[in-house]
Amino acid sequence: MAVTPENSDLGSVSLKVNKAQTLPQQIINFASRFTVQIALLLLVIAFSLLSDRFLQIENWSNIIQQSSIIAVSAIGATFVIITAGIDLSVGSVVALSGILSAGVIVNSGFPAWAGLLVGLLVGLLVGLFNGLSITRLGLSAFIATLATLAMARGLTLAYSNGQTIFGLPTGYTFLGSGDLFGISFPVIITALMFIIGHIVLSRTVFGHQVYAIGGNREAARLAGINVRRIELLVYLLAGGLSGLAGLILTGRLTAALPSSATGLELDVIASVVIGGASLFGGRGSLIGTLFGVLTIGVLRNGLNLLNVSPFWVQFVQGAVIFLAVLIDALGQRQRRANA
Amino acid sequence: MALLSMKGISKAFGANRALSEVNLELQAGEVLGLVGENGAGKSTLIKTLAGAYQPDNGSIEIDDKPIEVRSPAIGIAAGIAIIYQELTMVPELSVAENFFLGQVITKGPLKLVDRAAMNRRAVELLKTLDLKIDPRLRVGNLTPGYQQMIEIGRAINRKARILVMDEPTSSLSEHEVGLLYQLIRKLKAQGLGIIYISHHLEEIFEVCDRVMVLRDGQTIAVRPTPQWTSYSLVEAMVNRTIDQFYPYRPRNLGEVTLAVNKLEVAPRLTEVSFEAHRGEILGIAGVVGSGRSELLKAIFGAVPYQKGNLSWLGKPLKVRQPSQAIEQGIVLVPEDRKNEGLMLDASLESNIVTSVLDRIAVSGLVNFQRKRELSRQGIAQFNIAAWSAQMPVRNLSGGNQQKVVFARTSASKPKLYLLDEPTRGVDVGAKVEVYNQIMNFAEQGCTIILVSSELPELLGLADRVLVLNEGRVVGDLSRAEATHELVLHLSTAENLGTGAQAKK
Repeated sequence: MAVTPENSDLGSVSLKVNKAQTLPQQIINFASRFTVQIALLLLVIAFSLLSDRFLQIENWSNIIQQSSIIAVSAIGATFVIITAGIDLSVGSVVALSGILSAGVIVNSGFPAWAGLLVGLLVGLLVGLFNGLSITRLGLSAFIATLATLAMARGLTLAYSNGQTIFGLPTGYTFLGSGDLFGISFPVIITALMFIIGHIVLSRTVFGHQVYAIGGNREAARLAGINVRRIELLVYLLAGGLSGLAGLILTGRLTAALPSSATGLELDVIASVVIGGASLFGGRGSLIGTLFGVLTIGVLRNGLNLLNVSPFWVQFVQGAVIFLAVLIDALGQRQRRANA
Repeated sequence: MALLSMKGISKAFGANRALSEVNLELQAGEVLGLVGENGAGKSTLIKTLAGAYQPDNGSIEIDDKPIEVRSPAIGIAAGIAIIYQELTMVPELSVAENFFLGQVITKGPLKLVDRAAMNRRAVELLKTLDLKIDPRLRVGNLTPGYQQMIEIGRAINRKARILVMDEPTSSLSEHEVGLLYQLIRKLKAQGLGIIYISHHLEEIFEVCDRVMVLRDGQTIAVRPTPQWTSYSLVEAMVNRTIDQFYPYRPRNLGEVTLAVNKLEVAPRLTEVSFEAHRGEILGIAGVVGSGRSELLKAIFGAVPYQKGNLSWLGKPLKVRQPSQAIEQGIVLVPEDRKNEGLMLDASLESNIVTSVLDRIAVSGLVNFQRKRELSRQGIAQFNIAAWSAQMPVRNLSGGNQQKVVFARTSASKPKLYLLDEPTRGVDVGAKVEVYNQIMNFAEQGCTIILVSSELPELLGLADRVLVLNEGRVVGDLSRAEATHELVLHLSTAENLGTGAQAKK
């Protein structure tokens, strides 16, 4: 028996669809559901009008390559944020993975592939550490990953003595600088990770459970979901992807800098939030995150082309994030009020 | 002259007409009961009175003087106080500070907080409330029942003349309910007008002078309490005849399915032992805090137990987490659906399939067709009123939300249902549907353990009633033996040991 409003016992009159909205309300309703797409579109239009170099292929290739570090890290961050967690250690893990993977090759004579493996392992280990601190020791995600941020950065500086590590073989740097059939590797990896990530998040049992935990952790637990295991996996994933991003970054620069990726976590979290995820968990998608990453990348690139001072670039970036989150909040409020 | 007069109040939200020409009159010194199903318009009416909503039409008069309550602050200043179901206490602050929330007493030119004055005034207020509490006590340490009295105290402090109480007894123990009734009678004598909203008809009959029924945003009838019976009241609320509120049908009980042996669950349960049978509805009674929820959660694996053992279907039951219990065919409908039972912002569909994701997936990938099918089945089976399976559960009424929890737990085809307050905050129509479902499950051979603070509900549905008190089972009563008085006596008496007999 299909349930329709006519033949069901409507327990609440307010279930009827609210079609009569005022114009400002309709605008907010629409805008809040497509915030990031609209933002990106507006920016693209604005910059293409303001600069004739904006739409050129090399420029777009630049945008995507530069965004790949943020993009790959943001995939892991999306999973974490959907579970209502947070990972502040992203930037430090990127740097640590870069330094250690480069170090074992240059200082200890490991072959290139071993160096790459080390980089991934570093990311996974930090992710595991984060995950265990949060799920077993009961530390708050914010504090635990803040501490990891400091510890990982500290390890990076200690190991490298503050020095940059040069002289990396192509067997290693191809990840960040090479290309396949004309498409740069970072782009291929980013695209691959996004596709796999999207399938996992939207179509697998694991993905459903991630959303459930973020929606209501206790309810998910009482519904039979192994919350601690999934949360651990999510931080492990974030760590591993940050490790991968570190390899890409080091490959691009053909050098490992102990100071690299400082502040990356802010760009990553901003991308995920602009893309529609809620820091309270339960909402978000990788498609949204992708748009968020592109928005930030386009913004930075466009302002650069216009020769805007890098200081102002940071301000504008913050302002765009603020606006995007504001519109989303207004939309949420409106949806709740109509309930 | 009426204390409060709401005339012709209409309010629409878009196409949804929440209130149509509603009239409400309240005299000083009277308690007016306001009843109706969820969605009937009770909270819209109250929020309009409180100043949270503005009516599209109609007027409000206090002491025959028209007043426009444009904001809650104006409402409070006019003497209107609403005690919502969700209390607005600040747990970290003291009793006195909560009395004066937003209206702190200051002294001196620097307007510093005058705690001494607040504490003195608080002592007076506590005397009015007949409460022996230190005003400096942190409110978070009080039980919900006492917190609610503090909330009422705050209203009195603000010189409220019209007090609206929305489902005031939902978190109260029987003792605290008694205290509340005493307080209401006292406030009546002082000339306050009280509007009392509740789904518990016994309370309405106990404490209200007149009762008003709302249905679909309209006033259906207002009559003095003696002119109503519970049947006529319910019929007015749901516009149907109710032959039998509790659809109890006796059935043949089978073998023992669940055996609980000397279970110890800290901190409240010391030694609980009982057996439940196939097809049986076993009710568990006890006061708030007697450990009923902990018992269910321990069987479900949501809460650890220290001693004892369990057996299910003849084999030992060792569950350390809910997922293991679900695999064995045991499910829990938790007490607090908003915090423990539902993902409010997720869709109906997603909620319904949460417990059975593994069963609708192939090598880790969820089969979306089966997901849709399952949710459609659940919606149909429990008659969930929603205009789309994709809509967020948050937007459903309490009754429908509870049905979603039932749909989710039933999706795993369980054989043991652990039900913790399954009809709390659920409107009358949905209640009857839930009762019918429970009876169906039992007739299909499931074992049902039912925890309910509503004794009439427990006694109406159960084949057997266990009473928990002082950490153990103090009574195992057949349906015939279980009377309201006996169960109440066993729940509250002290030093009973086990297997006590009632004093007549």
